[in-house]
Amino acid sequence: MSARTPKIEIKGLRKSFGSLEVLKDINLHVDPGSVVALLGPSGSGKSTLLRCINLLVVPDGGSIRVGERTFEFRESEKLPRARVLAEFRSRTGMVFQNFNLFPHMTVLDNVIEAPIHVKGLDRKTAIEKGMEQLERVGLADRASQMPDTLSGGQKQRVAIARALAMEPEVMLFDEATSALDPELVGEVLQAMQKLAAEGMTMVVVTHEIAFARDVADRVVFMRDGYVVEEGPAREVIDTPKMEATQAFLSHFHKGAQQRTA
Amino acid sequence: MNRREFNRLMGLGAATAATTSLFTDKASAASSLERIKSSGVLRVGAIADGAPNYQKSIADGSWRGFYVDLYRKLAEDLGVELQILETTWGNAVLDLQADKTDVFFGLNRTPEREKVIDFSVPVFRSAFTMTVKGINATTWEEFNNPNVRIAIDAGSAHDSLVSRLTPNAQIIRLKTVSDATAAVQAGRADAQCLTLIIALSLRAKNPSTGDVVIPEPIEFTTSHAGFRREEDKSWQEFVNNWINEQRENGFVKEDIIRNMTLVGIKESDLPPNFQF
Amino acid sequence: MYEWDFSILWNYRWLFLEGLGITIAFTAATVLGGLAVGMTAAFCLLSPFRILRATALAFIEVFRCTPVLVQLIWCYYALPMISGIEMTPVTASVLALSCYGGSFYAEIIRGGIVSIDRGQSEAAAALGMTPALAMRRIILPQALRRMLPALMNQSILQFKNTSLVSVLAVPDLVYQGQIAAHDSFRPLETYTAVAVSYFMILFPLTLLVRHLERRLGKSE
Repeated sequence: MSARTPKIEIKGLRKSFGSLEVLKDINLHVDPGSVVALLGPSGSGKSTLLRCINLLVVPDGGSIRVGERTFEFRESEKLPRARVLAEFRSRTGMVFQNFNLFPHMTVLDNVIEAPIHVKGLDRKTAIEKGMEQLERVGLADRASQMPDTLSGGQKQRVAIARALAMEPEVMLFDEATSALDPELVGEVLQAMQKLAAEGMTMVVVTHEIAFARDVADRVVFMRDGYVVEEGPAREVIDTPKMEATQAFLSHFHKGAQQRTA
Repeated sequence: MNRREFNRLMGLGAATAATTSLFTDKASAASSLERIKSSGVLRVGAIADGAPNYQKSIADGSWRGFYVDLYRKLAEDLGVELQILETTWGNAVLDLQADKTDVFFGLNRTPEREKVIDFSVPVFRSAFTMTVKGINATTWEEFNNPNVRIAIDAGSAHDSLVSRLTPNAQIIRLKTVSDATAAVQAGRADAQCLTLIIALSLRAKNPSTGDVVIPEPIEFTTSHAGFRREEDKSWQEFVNNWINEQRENGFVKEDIIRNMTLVGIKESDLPPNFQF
Repeated sequence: MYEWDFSILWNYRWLFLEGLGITIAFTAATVLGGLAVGMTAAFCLLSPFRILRATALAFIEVFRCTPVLVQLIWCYYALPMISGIEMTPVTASVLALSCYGGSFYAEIIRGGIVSIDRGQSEAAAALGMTPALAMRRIILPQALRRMLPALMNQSILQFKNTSLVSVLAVPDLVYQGQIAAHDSFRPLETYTAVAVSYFMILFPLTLLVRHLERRLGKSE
């Protein structure tokens, strides 16, 4: 582990939806250039935690720091202003399970939309940089197509390029491969792996245990709103210490065996 | 849409106006006469298709008609500019209430209207006539006969008049004036009760409908100017005096006869016992 | 048997054309005005502030649930008395019809906006867009496309509703038709001509709406 200041630091994070407590006292830090995988059964709070990192979900308590910007949350306090939120989010990239590409724009327009209208880049520069990002995910030749003409894997790669075009400090992946047909999962994981190799700080919610084991530096296992177990990826996945982790992973290991059988 | 249907439709609007009249009463503290003189503008209402009372020229948009000439004379005598607001029969009373016009000529005095606006002395009288086909009668008494079939538009001034004067006749109550006219044309009625100018316009358009008689003793309906109700009566008094003057000096009569030509009526078409 | 004689209409051609021009101008003005009103009301309906939502809802229901005719008269006669702002019949008509149309547009626009997948606004937010920018660049363009047939249908109704301005003696096609009918004593011919004029404008528009509905239906 590096001794540098963590890129992301989360302390005492709490979040409830109505009477349902989804996150209970979460503490987490992510070192610069490292990849953290959030694992856990559905309903464990891992997606909510991810969405708290870029404040798509506003926590009830605790604090979040990403880079140099810190937010503290108390129940009585008002939400941060829309402009402050937007500025903060512009420095984190997020990739969604359902891609959420803008269907009324071409692939390239999807990618340059935020650089132009959020960052204020001129169109020419935005196009240059946008094409670079499309190149990076191998879709430069699709720039002028509409999103609905692409396959799911291509869509997700465009979504990654779109997020990268904002030159974010961290990238958040919310089950980026769950909505894909099995044969399309590989190309997206490959793009993510490449990104990790280039030194991007990433937090990844995923069900791809093999991917987490190979690509992530650390794994955080969550259940019922708590972090149950946390440690180096291989260590946690290969030799889980906690019962809940063991149960969850055995289920996956069995599934993997069945698939390969 | 005929005038009566229109009025009925406007009942809704009148209800609104009734509630808001509270506001006008307070607002119109200054007398209209003062306002007209200080602003130099007399605001009046006129109806585009109300010949011979009002008519807006289809060719050039200029105003003509019996009341338009009266308005012009009134403005001239006041030494102010005339401003004509195009409106409808249904809205004319509302225009007064809403302080959009200062005076409107050509209203019959009805109890409902008297609740919300003030009226001038009569501007002129219009005799009730019978347009007859195939019968001979010259007095109301002769029309009051079980063999005579009289067509009228239900609920109108014509209706109340024949109900009062000819209760023994067969009164055929129809929906509109045109329906009653059609009944006479088709021979289903012997006579239709109308006011003089309308009867004459009808005959000018379609002479075969019948002859126009003014039954004796002559019954009149009167036409008035309407005013917004004000505490200060100086404007009404001014117009009343002015109307009386115009009647006495013959301007009103000339004016009526001159404008009859708008609906194709010549002076020689007037029945011998014509009065106004 | 009634003897039809449409040749007399030729005498009134300028009157009809003028009326038609006014009807079209009124439609354009009240569609634009209505969209502005409807958009504002729709945003209020979607606002997190309860007072805005309640106000917008009250506004919409008042205008949806009362006759346009009464609204016209109310705007022209009653509103100036209460507010002290004097209005010409034209201003009052544009105001009343814009509010009436707007109350229907509002529901269409609100429905169109909420029909857009939540993921779109999330993606926009994640890219650092403010809610206003996301609405303008991402949500509205998609929502408008989806609402287009409904908006056009409402605008067609709006075109027909302009005929009611004749009640304030605004010389639209119907009012001019009334004048011509009265002048010519040929109401059947003149009203037929008015109806034909409306039909000739609206029929192609309804075809266009149907075409759009089919095309958009296919692309989604």
